[in-house]
Amino acid sequence: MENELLKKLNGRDESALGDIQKNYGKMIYALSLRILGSREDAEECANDVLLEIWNTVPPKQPERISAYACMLARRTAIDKLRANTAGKRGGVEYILATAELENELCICDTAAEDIDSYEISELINEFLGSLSSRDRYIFIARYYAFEDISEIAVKLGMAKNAVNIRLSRMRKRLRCLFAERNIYI
Amino acid sequence: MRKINKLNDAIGGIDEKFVEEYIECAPRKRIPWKTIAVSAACFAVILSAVYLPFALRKVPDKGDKSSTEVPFYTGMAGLEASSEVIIDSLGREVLHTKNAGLPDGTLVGQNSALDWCTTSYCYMTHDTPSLLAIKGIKVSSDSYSYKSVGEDGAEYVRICYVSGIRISDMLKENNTSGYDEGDIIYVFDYLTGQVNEDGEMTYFFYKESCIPPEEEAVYLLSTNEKKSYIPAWAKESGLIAENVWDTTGVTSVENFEVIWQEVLDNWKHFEENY
Repeated sequence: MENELLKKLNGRDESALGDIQKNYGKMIYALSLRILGSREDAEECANDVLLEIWNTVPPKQPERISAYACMLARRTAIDKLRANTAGKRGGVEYILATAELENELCICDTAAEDIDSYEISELINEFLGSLSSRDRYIFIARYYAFEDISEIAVKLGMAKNAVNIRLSRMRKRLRCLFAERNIYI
Repeated sequence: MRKINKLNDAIGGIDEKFVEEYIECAPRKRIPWKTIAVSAACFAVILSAVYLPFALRKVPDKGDKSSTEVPFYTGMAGLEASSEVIIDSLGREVLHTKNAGLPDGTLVGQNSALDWCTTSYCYMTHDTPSLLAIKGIKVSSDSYSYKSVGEDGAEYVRICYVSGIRISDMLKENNTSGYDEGDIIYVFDYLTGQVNEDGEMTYFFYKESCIPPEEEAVYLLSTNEKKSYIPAWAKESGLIAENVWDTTGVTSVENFEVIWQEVLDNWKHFEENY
């Protein structure tokens, strides 16, 4: 299906958008809603994501349209939230997950302006690669996709406090890794 | 740029392969609300109001209370908490407290009613354990607490709770759980705390809103065959009966009525338009 989708996009076949909507629309909308906290904003974001896929493929040739759509949805929703001048705070889980990270990892009093997001991404990639697949899923579900902890627990058949404890330990490990590399956020 | 924004952007820039893995692992099966899996046969047992769902094995001697004492400052309303040290099936000392409340200093999670409601909708659309949504009042609360040393050398306290909730209203459309209004259902939850060098509890985490035990509340309960919501250290104790359900969510009646409708409207709109 992914190959077919890519073929349609490259061939500028507009039915590709309908296929993307059908297969990934819910994921795009749900992620947008968790970040933006508003149905209207999430709908607008989902539409923007579809448009961006259409405008960027080609020349981009993502390996998987699903992952590309997910990445676009996250970025678009967060950009929309930051640009929002009406003082909206975003979805509950976005706020909670962001606060968890900020409390654990953003501890340096001085600004680290010379460390860019790319360097931090590389370190986080290294960190994710060192995790078990279960822990990696938990980390990404919570801090990439802003899923509710209870939902993560249900999907993995775990107790919710077990998920909490794993997240806490991973945040601590990530903080230690940053410190080892002299990276302070 | 705000530091957290930089971190969020960095997480957004992770390798695509990790995002693919996350998407591939997400459950795809969708089960309509009306066909949610029914509870297992053992949940047809109806417990009486005075029967407590655990076996107590009394300690012949008092035991060393200093090794298991955990402070409890908030008992059930109007009732005095009382504790005793018992031995579980693995020979471990356990502090059993009747009419137990939350320890002082417990971190109470933010009001997660909206998250809870959204989660409960997810229960309806995933291949999930049995679900029960009820209104009820807590009529009993027993806790079992252990001290242990973690792999990192830090001392932990683990406390599990078994509470009896008298059901005043069933909120589930198709109730095949075997429970009905007036019954008492036993629900499980647990906390973890870390003891510092001064012997003080430094960390507790309790996700759901803290509802006073004398108030009627809305409970989202779930169960599954494997009882995966009961951690191994509690299962091994022999103190937790088979018929407890997991306390997935608790919220006040007032919150529930407002938030639930909003969640249903959100999803209805999405279902109709996407």
